[in-house]
Amino acid sequence: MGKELTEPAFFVLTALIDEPRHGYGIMQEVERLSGGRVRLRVGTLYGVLDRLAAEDLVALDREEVWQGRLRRYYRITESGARALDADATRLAENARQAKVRLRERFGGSIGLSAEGGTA
Amino acid sequence: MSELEDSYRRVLRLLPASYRAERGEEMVAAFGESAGPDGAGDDAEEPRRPSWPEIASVAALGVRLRLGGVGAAPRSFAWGETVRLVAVLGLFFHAAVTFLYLGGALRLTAVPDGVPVEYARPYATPEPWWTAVATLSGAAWVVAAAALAAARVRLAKVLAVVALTAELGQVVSTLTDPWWWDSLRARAPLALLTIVPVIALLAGFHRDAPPVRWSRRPGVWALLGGGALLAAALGALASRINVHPWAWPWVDMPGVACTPLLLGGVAYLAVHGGAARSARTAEATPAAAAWPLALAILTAPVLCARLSVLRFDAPDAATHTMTLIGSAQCAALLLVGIALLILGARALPRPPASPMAARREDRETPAAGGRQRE
Repeated sequence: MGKELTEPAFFVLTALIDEPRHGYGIMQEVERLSGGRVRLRVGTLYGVLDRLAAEDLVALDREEVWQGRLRRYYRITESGARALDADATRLAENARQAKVRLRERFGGSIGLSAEGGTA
Repeated sequence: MSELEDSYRRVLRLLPASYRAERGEEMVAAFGESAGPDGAGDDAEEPRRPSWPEIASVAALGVRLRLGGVGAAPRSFAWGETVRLVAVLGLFFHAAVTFLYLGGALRLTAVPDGVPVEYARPYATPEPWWTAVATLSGAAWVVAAAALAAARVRLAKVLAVVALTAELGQVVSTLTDPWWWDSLRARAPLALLTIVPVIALLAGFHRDAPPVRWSRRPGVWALLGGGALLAAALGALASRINVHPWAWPWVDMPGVACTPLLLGGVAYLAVHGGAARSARTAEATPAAAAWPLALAILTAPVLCARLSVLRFDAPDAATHTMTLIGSAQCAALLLVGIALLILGARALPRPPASPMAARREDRETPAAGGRQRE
């Protein structure tokens, strides 16, 4: 049973799948993954990271000093990957249900049918 | 960039020192990079200070860290529960006051007894706008309390802000008096009775706050309805004794707040006071701290509101009586408040060695499951 993740938490975990990232790296990746829709502020990001770390879904990977600035890299843990997988499955199932219903109601060309119906 | 980062460092003072020590540099770095020339930040229009959304995100984090919710360290959770209790008690108090004055007004309308109807209200002001504002804020309190009981926290917040706006409007309206300074000095502390619970509601019921579950218990709505009826009945009763000077300090707003607070405080001290003498370690739980601390916090606005209307230079016997009773109320509130504060402080869980340790130690507690998507 997976627990429901908030949207920022979902994107933060997704951003950490391919490689460990530092704070700003996560902010950039989340913005890119969400097509610019989710722009995390620093305070929000660290609130999300704190909760994910407390639940053992992310862990500290390493620390670096880059141009005099501290960078802490976070990685997704195994339980984090499992939680994300479960949440992604849940969302995919939701989307599938919606698709099936839409197809049943409007047939193959959903967009055209829907527009035609309301025109 | 360093000026902007310095400014951001000042913003980070909104966070607890222990958290800042651990996360501060990292947050400054993330902020600096996001606002830097190669960053994606579009905050160029405010180069000297962080944007308001950035500041708000840090402030919200500070509130969530200090007033912990699900998954927080025990001490911060205890403070969170305390503030949420202040909000709950404050909202139900204001809702009860609405029924209290409603009961008084209904009785005086039905059986005037030669007492002006205005005496049924907290402040006898004849302007019709006052009646409109009082009705609006009274209704807002009742629905806000019901919304909170039904776990509709957002609605409760909106309505509580409406009631707060009405209250602040009344404070501002005193500025139109020719003797505005005296009016303001007497009226502004009364607004604390509204400001404190509303701020507690806005701050305490953040997104990590545990969901309101007690509303689902059977009998809660019957209890709340009974409370409303009881308040109305007491209001009707109070309107009858309201002609005596000794009764006035008990039926105005601070007096109405004083009675249940003193009764509740003394009852809590009687039940838990003895047990807490040896209790720093054994009973240091969030629940053991929240009640005494919440009651202690609530004594402060009531004390200020009562003190503001005491007149020690009054020549007439009626005001003298009121001042005497008011002073006794203040002394009792102060004593009970201090005792509750000591009791609550002793029951507070110890601060963690480091925030990370706290979060780790807290992992056994039921984590933030089922958090709602925002």
